[in-house]
Amino acid sequence: MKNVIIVDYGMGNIKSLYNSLKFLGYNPVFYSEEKNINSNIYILPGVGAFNQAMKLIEEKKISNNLKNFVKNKNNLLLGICLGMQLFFEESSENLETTGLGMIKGKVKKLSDNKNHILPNVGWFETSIKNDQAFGYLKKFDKQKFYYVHSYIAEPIDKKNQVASSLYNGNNFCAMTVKNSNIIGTQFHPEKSSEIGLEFLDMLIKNSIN
Amino acid sequence: MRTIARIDIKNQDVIKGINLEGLRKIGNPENIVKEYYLNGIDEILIIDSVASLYGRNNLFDLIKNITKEIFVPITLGGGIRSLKDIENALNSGADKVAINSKALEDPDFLSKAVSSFGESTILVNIEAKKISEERWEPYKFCGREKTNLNLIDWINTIQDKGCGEILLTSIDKEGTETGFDIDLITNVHEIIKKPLIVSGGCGNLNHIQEVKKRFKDVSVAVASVLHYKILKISEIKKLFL
Amino acid sequence: MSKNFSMFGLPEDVIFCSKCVMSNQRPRSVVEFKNSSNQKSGLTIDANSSICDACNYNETKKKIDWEKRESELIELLDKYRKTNGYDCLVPGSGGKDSAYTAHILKYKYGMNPLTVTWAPHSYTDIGWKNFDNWIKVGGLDNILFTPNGRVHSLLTKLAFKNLLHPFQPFIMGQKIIGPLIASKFNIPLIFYGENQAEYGNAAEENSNPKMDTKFFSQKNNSEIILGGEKLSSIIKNYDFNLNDFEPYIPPPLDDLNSKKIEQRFLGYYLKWDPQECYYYAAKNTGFRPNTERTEGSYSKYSSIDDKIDTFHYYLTFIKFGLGRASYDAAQEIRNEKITREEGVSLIKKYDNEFPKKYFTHFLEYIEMNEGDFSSTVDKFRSPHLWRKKNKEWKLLHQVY
Repeated sequence: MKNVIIVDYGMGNIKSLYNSLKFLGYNPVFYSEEKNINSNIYILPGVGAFNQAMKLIEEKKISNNLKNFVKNKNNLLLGICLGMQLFFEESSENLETTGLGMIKGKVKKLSDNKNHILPNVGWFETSIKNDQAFGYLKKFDKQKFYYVHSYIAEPIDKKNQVASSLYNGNNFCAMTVKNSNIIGTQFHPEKSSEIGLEFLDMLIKNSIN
Repeated sequence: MRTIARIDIKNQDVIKGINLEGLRKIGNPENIVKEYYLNGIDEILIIDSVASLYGRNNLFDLIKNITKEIFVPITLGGGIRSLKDIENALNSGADKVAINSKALEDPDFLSKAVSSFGESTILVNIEAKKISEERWEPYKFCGREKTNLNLIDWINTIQDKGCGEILLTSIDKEGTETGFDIDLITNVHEIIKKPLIVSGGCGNLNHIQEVKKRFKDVSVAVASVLHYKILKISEIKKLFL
Repeated sequence: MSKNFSMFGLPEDVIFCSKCVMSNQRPRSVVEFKNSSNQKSGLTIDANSSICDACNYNETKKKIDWEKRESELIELLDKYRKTNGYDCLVPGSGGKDSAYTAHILKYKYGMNPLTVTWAPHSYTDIGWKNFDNWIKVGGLDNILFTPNGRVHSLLTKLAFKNLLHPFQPFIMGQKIIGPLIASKFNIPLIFYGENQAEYGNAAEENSNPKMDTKFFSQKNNSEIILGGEKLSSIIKNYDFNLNDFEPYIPPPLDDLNSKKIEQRFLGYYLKWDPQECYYYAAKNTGFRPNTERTEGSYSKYSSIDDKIDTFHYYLTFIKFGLGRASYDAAQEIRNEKITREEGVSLIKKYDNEFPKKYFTHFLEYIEMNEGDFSSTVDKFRSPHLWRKKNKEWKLLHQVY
């Protein structure tokens, strides 16, 4: 059974993630509890505010561990929702907060239009780029996944954007990838029913060697 | 536009009332939730219909069990009265909590809840009753007690204090299968700035069509049509393809 | 008076049923127009099992062959059914029980009922709406009989003062109006909903589909007692005459016998569940529950059409230590809607709640001020149930 480490820094529905990984046959372990388990898969969840998340990550001294972790190309760091947004340089949510800085780009509010409803909640069609590196994700192109967010990440290099979805007619980044081993989804695969579980499973099995 | 299954529970049974009254048993909660999940429901809303009445929270075990096999968003409501209750709900596996009576008694609780757990985790549940032409009132304790508040004022308050979504239940239409409360929704739709879920009154596909036609981006929560097997989840979802 | 004196002849030792929440203080139905001394017999609770008659009957109910009973009903109805003219009479208010009874007799069993309503003292808005819907949405013919307001309120006042039982005139008229109208229209079959025996009258009454004639007929007018006073005295003292009391005087037994009029309980033939009556009525006769919880209880669907009604239950709380929540909970426990523990919790929360909402209205109706109301109420606090401590009345025996 493959070990997967869930980085529980204090925010995010780690229970859902734990349950879905278990359901898929993995051995999920919480970062805070098991320091001795080895794994080449880390998942960074997140629900809530960017600045609060970074504060907790700094307090628990997780930041450097993650940065070192991804230096090894055989390690996979998967970020979900806020977890994915933390990969970026900074966010304008609340105060200008610095993120992990692994991917160039900023996190900003989905819309400043007062008539737009936020958070963006629901099952939305997700377009996956036609990319050889992610050929195994092709079957998920145009499938609906569950989103709940008010902020989005904007990678500067379009190469880092692998999937997109629409909000009030505008595209936003639904999935980001850097160096093949830093991957993030704006949507929640662990909450996207069977299609989400399949996606999560495929990602873990195929993204790295 | 989401299709959400609303599941009211008392002790060990799923129940279904009319106008939020009556405890007719429908079946086993775990079986019912699983069935709706496997049939493609978007989200599940679980309401402990007697938590406030008896001052207890019973459903954490149920949530723990169903989240091992069910992977769509789950909201737990009924008797959420403290930050600890929210923490327990989330720890058992719920993604969101629905708050009603506590918010009516102490609106600041919403701000505290949002800052502790994130806005998207907090859903405010409003049970609205019509009291005169163009006027509705939010009720407490599962439709049992008046608040003498104006619904419009209350919506403005909760949006100000903080919430991620609003669940609006029509007490007048709930369980009657005579259609959603279009008047009610029309009355509040313009001032709502958060994702809105309407609940109460669905009896057939036309009722859902009507909501979809008139209101942009409104999700529906249904109960009777699923519990009494009047509609299939696949039929409902086809409306939104 | 001894410390433990029981004012209404009920047992001095208060015992609660171990299954539901009723106590041995729950009074059995009496023949109201013979009620002068308020003496009652109470619900029997088995000494060994601590289970009351109502709960025991409830167990028996589960074993009844309801299919057989329904065929008995169909056989009975086949004999009475008419293709023109009314073939049965259903007395009721349009509340969940009579709504169910009248509607199902007409629309499932093909009868042609005439419904007759003995008006409540003062209609609540929801009560009137439900009554109206019963007729117009449910689809039934109805005669609404409203008694002379001056007589009715006098009798209510007397009943309150003499018996602490303001609902007596209503109960009397309610039992009489059916046979009275049936006699005038020559309708021999009257249907009530459920037999009160289900709630703890003499258990043997349950095996009888017919109501005992003693409740709605009499042999001799001079014996009639209203509001705890002899009819003859009331006529003398209050400047009325015999004509004014027509709706309170039960029809002569001979008259009913010659027309072969009998009252039956639908609850004998069809398994009775008050909450399911609610669902049926909500679906078929436009019945809506109350807009808010009824004072003194937690429910919203039971007995909601009369502003005076909450006082009836408040005063049963005073007289017998059992308020509305006790009655509602007992019924729902037996029908497996709530557990006994939940029932106890609800009683604790609501049973002693004072019905503020219509208090002023009630005082006006019985022409009393608050002080006289309180002192009258206090006169009926039986020493075996109540003790005064530091100016506050304490109920000595609670189910919790």
